[in-house]
Amino acid sequence: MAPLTKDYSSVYLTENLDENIKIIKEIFKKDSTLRIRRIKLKDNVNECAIIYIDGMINNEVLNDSVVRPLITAAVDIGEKGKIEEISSKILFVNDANKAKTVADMLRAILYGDTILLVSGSSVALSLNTKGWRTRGISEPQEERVLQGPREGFDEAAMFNLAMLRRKLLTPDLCAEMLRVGRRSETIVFICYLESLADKQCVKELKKKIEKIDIDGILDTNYIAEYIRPHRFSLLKTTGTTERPDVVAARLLEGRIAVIVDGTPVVLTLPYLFSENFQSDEDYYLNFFVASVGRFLRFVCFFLAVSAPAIFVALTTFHKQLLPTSFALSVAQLRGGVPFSALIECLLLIFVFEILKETGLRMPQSLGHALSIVGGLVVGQAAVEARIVSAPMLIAVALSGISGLMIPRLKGVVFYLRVAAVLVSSLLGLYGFIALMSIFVVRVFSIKSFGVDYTASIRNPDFEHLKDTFFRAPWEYMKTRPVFNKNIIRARDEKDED
Amino acid sequence: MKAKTNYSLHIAFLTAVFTLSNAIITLPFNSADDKTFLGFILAFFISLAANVFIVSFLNKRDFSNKIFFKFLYCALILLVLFEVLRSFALFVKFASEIILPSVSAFIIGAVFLLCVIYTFLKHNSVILKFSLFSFLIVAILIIIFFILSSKEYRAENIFLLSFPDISELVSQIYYCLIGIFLPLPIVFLWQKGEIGEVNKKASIIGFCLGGIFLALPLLNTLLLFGAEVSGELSFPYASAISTVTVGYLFSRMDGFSYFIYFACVLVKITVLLGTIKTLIKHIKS
Amino acid sequence: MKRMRIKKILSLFLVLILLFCLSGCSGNVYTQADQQYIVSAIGFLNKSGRIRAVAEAVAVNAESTEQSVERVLLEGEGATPAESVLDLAAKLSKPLLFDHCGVILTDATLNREEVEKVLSYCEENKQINLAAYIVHSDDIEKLLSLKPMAALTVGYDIIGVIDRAQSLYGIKFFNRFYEVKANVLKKSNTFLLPSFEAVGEEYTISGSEVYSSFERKARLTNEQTALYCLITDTYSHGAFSEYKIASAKCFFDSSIKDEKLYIDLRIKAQIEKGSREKLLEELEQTANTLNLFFDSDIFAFSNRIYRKNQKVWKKIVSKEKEFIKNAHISIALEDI
Repeated sequence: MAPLTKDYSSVYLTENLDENIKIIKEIFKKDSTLRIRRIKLKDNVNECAIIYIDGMINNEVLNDSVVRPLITAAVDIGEKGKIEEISSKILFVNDANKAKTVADMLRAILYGDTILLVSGSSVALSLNTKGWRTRGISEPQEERVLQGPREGFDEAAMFNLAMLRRKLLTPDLCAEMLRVGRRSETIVFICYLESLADKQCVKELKKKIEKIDIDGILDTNYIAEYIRPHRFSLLKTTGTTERPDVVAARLLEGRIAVIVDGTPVVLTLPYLFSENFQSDEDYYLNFFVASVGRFLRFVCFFLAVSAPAIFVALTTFHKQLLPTSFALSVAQLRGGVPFSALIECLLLIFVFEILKETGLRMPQSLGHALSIVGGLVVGQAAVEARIVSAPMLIAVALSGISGLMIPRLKGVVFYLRVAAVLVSSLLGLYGFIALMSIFVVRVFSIKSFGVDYTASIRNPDFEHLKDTFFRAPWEYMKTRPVFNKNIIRARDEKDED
Repeated sequence: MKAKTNYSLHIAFLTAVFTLSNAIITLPFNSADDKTFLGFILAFFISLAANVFIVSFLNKRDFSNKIFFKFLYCALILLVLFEVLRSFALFVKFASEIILPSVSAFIIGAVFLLCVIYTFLKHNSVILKFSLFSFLIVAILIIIFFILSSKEYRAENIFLLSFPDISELVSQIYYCLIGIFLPLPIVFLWQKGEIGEVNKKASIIGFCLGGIFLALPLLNTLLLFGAEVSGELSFPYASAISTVTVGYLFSRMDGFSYFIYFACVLVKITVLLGTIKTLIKHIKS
Repeated sequence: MKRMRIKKILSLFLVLILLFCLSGCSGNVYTQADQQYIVSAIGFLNKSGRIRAVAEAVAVNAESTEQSVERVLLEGEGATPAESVLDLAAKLSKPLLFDHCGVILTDATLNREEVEKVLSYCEENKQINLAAYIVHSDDIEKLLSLKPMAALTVGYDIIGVIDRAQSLYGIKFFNRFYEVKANVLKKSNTFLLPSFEAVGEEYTISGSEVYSSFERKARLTNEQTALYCLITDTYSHGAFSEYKIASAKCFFDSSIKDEKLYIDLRIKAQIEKGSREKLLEELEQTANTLNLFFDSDIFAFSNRIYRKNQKVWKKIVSKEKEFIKNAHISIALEDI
């Protein structure tokens, strides 16, 4: 393991200003963005220095709230408690904390704060002058809605937390800060509503995050892969979102959110299987419309996974199950195709995935060209050249498009689709049913942070199904998800009498 | 207030699926005649009475460490093992003749065994949830097939031609009891071992549900083919479903029914293995 | 723990690869529908003492761009139906697919044993569906070689013609394979098959053939078939000759008096068109003539006696044929 830089948590400041400055300069000797400005106070006796990294701070705040007051304030700070005097009588900043060790100082400087050193004091002051630029609030690309809030998180955890607080104006909202990553010291917030979240779950989550031993955390997924219970499972046991309204809704259901600095993606847990089929705007649209969408997503999941597999199984093993006219039509259209159904199907699936991935990453100006290539070449030329057959193309295209309806199950759908095709080509519908049974058993056996993954569809009654296969009107959504300790969401009319 | 996990419904459906299991593949049996349906009904009620008694008995008793009971458990293990092998062999035979005639029975059996082992290694709540999931689908399919076949039914196929002879009736009851209802107490034993007690209400309701959803395929086959033809066929219900036509010419619905057989037998064998595990545990203790 | 997990994953992979390899050993697993002859109809006839199988099939011609689907007539011979089909298949470059065989044809040249063998073969061939129709034709080869009228093949056309005839005339043949099998297993072993006749370039149902104990006993015209169905309580609603009947139900009763069997048929029919008296006369004539003339239980009376009146059945079972042949049949025609 490459050695870290020296551990400065046991290195303390001295009362000599020059020595303290020398320590900082030594640490940042290869960093030309470090700025040190020495300031003499008005009493002409005491000297201080402000240290910051250029580009990380807000110059106006620094100049107006720190430098000007220091230069112009006619305050006698005395011999002892200089830092406290300066902090309380001179400075105009909203947040000033003491930094006793060099490690504290470094953490502050590297996060955009300014360090104030005073001659004759072995304690530094960390001043809130953060001014690094962020992307600003914009609608998340992957979670667009037709109706509802359009704000999305950005890369600054503090601002994200602020956006969340605007949604939940309650002191019940807790945000515990942790730093993760030996070199990155990334700030991570664990957010939850104290009266709703499971304390044991919060405790275990904190423990897991604190145990993470990694160089740096750049995204939520780094943490997700460390903390989730079934690490090698395709099925997600932690939810992700870039929308503050979604995080707020999940916190109100008793879940926990993990905000990581440097990424707009927020983790929420526990995560249930039925959430894969929920759309963010289900709760903003009329419940009829939302219910149709929900139901459609379940159907699309089944189609996405099974359409090519069932087609391969029927044309290879179970020709008697095809209606006669359809069987003849398929036979006619497949005539002359040199590949077996399996190879043809896998070929089309991979081409579809290539087109999909290319569409995601390529420049927008080439989008038209790609759609023409995809449509004409794959759709028409390949069929006419009898490299692939039209029915297979339809089955794979249907499967591919259905898969796009459920973006949260992207990876699962792909692997399951390929596995289903392989198994169907070997064992027909029997193999397909066996694979689906194993998948269902797997889904039933997963837990997400102590909560049954299929808790919301455990019983076929209204209480369980009201927010799964359909979305009930809000007046019927009086209870939270069944795993929550505080299940009653709304006051019953009887209680008011 | 946290919602408690209540598995009563799941237990009922597990019992129903267990009742359906192999019976749905072979019902009616080779000895079918016009008394078959009456024999089935009578066998059902006899079995219901017996099961109510067995459930009460199991709830009052606990597993014992005495030598005599250990021998009894050994005998039960052998019986359950026999039932496992019988069910497994029947399902593999069915699958290799009807579902996948072009693939060797070994592969079919091996794949099924893998599925059974995978399910068996999971917690008992998983099999309960899977039973609920399976039963809902199986029930819907059975009802759909029953309705779709209705235009071809001939009511006279289930009329009793004469007042049944006692011996004829007894033989029909015997076949139904042995072939369908006899292994059922194993489910109650499984519940006792895995959950700690036998949920009487859920078990009896499940048994009744299983009986009803077994009567439907039986009626389906009898009304369509008659007792004589049904008795000649190896797998009457599968043959009956293969004749269902929806629309012009041939529109075969068999494919949908494969899940019925697979799920029912999977649940049954998993429960049987679970019972063996429980009995072994009590022999060792 | 980690080692155990890795071992589990590796053993799972090993099993899957093994299964993958083994499953490929069965041979013709990867046959697609376009690589087979899809049989739509198969007929059996006796030619010079040997069973000849004639099958109408559809094949996909991958080479031709103009007409990629071809209808072909295949033939084979053998001592038994199974051998003749084997002989037929041996001459082909692609295997046969019987799963979509909708029609099984029998011929006037087949004797009793041969008809029984044909039905047994169809039962043993698991690919042939129980819902396939069994029909009779005097010239199977000519019938199957004609150009289909509406569907892709003559076989599928025949199914449509049968359905249409049944609904027009109101008759019900019960000629699906499982229905024929059910009738065979009953006491009377009597079944009715529609008879197809090739007239020029067209084919039509010219009537029906009554089989008893696998032997062709009677040939009926369409009108006689309708009367037959009225007598055997298999008539629904339709029109034939000058009659139009909205609904009909036949109540059967039997008794023994002085060693003679009396069969009473009470037909309740809603006659919308035609003379009731004339219909009754025709019914009586048909019943008595056919019953007496063909020396066989044409109307499956023994089955109805067995189902309705066990006491009478027990009395006649020892000399069933004689009793039924000499039975006095009386028909009453009532309005609904």
